[in-house]
Amino acid sequence: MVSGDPGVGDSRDDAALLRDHAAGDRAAFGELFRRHRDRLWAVALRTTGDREDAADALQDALLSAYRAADRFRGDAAVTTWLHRIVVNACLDRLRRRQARPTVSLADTEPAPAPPPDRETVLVVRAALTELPVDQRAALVLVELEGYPVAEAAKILGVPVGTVKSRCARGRARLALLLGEPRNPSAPANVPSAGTAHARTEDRGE
Amino acid sequence: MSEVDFDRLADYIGGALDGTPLESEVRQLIATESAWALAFANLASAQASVTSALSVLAEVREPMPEAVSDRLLAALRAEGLAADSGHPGGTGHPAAERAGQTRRPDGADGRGPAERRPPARPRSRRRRTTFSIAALVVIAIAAIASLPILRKNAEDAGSGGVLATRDQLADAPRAAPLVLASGDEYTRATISDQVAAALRVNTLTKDAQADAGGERESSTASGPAGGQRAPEELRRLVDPQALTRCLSTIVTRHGGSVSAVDYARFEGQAALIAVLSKAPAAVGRPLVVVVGPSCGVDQDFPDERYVATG
Repeated sequence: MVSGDPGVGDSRDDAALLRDHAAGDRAAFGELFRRHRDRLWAVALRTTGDREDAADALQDALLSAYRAADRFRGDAAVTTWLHRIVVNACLDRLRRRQARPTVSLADTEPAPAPPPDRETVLVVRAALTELPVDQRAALVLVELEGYPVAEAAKILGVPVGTVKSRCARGRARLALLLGEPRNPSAPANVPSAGTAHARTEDRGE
Repeated sequence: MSEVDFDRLADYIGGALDGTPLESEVRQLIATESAWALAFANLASAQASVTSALSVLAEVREPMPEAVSDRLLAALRAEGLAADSGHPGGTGHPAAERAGQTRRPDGADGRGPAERRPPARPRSRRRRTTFSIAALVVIAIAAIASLPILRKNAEDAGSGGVLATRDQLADAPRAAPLVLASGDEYTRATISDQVAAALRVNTLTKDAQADAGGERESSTASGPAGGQRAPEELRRLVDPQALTRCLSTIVTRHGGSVSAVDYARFEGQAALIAVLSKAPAAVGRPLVVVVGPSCGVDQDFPDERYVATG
C-alpha cells in the first residue's frame, strides 16, 4: 500500500522509508518521525490524557517501531501500523497503572489561535479521561482524529462492530459526565441516561 | 415490561447492532415499550450533543512540544538513528516543508499547528450548541424550502413504502412547508382544531394552491410565525439533515406531502407536529402526525406518538 507525504528534500513515501530503514538507512526513520510526530502526539495525548504518559508511551512505541520495522508486512498503511503501536503502548501504560490520569494543562505551549470554545474544550477533555480506556481510544481515533471506523478497527485490532460499540457506549457515558439532562416530562419511574452510569459501571469495561 | 439495557440501546443508536438479530429486538422494544422509547429519545438527543462537544475538542490541534521531540529523537539516536535526522529543519526550510505537505490519502497529513485542519470525518459535524434555537429554526426553514417535496405515490400507498421516482420528484412543484416554533401544548382532544387555527392564522391554503399547480406561498420567508419557543428537546430536529430524515420517515409511512410543521409539545412532552396534505388516510383533509425528538434517528422509526385527521 502506497502512502506517505514526502517533505521537501525527501520524495520517498512512508513505505519506502520504512523499507530503507529496515535495510540500514540511518536517516529514513527520522523522516518518518518528522512527518507524523504531531499526529502521533495528538493520539497519544488524547488517549492517555496526560503529557508525561503520552511522552512515555510514544517513546516506547517509537522504539518498538524502530526495532520491528523489518517485520512490517505492508498489509496496512504505515501510518495505521504506527498508530496501532502508539495506541497499544498508551493502553498498556494505562492498564498497568490502573490509575485515573489527570490532564496537565499548565505547560501547554501557546497555540497560534485560541480554541473556539475554551470551556467546552476543558470540560470535554476532562470527561474523556473518565472513560474506560477502550472506549476512550475508540472515540479518540474516530471522533477526534477523524479516522473512518474501518481504519480505527485496523489500528485497534478489533472488529468494526466492536469499534462502533465502544464509540457508542463512550458517547453515552460522556453524555452522563457532561450532564445531559433527562426529559423533564418523563415519568419518575422511567430511567434516564443517568442510570446507565450505574449499569455500565457494574458490567465493567 | 423489560428493563432498559442502556448499553444495548447505545449500541443500537451507534449502529453496532446493524444486521444482527439484536437490532430487530431493540427496535421492537422501542416501538412497543414506553420506557425503551423514552430512553431511546433521551439517549439519542444526548449523544447528538456529545458529538457536537467532541467536534469542538477535535478542532484544537496541539503540535508535539519540542522538548518531547528532542527526548524521543535522543532515544532513537541511542538506537542508531542518524544525528541530523528527524528535525523539522533537517531537510529544508520549516515553512517550505509545511507548505509542501499535502493531505494524504489515509487522512494523516502531519500539518502544523498554524493550520486548523478539521479532522477527516465521514459525516458532517453538528454545529456548536451555543446557537440559539431561533437561529437554528431559521436555518431549518431555509433548508426545507430548498428541498423537493417528498411525495409518496398515492397509488403505492398500500404497497408498503415506495417513494416517488426521481423524475416524479423533479416534476413535483417545489414548495415551502410552513414552519412554526410555537411551543404550544397540543392535546388529543384539541389537536385538530389547533392545527386548523394555526393554518388559518398563517393564511395558508395548501390544497387550493397545490391544485392550481403553483408554488405555495409561505409567510415564513423571514422566520417562523407564531413565536420561537421550540422546546429544547427538539434541538436535534432543527438541523436540516435531521429534520429531512424525520419528515422522510413520516411521509414514507403515511404518504402525502408535508405542508406544515410545528415545534411544540403534545400532552406534556416535546413533539414535532407534522401536517400532511393528500395523505391516503385522510382524503380531502390534512393528516396530523405527532412525533418525538428521536424522529428519523432510525430510518424506519419516526418516533410516532399520535395521528389524527385535521
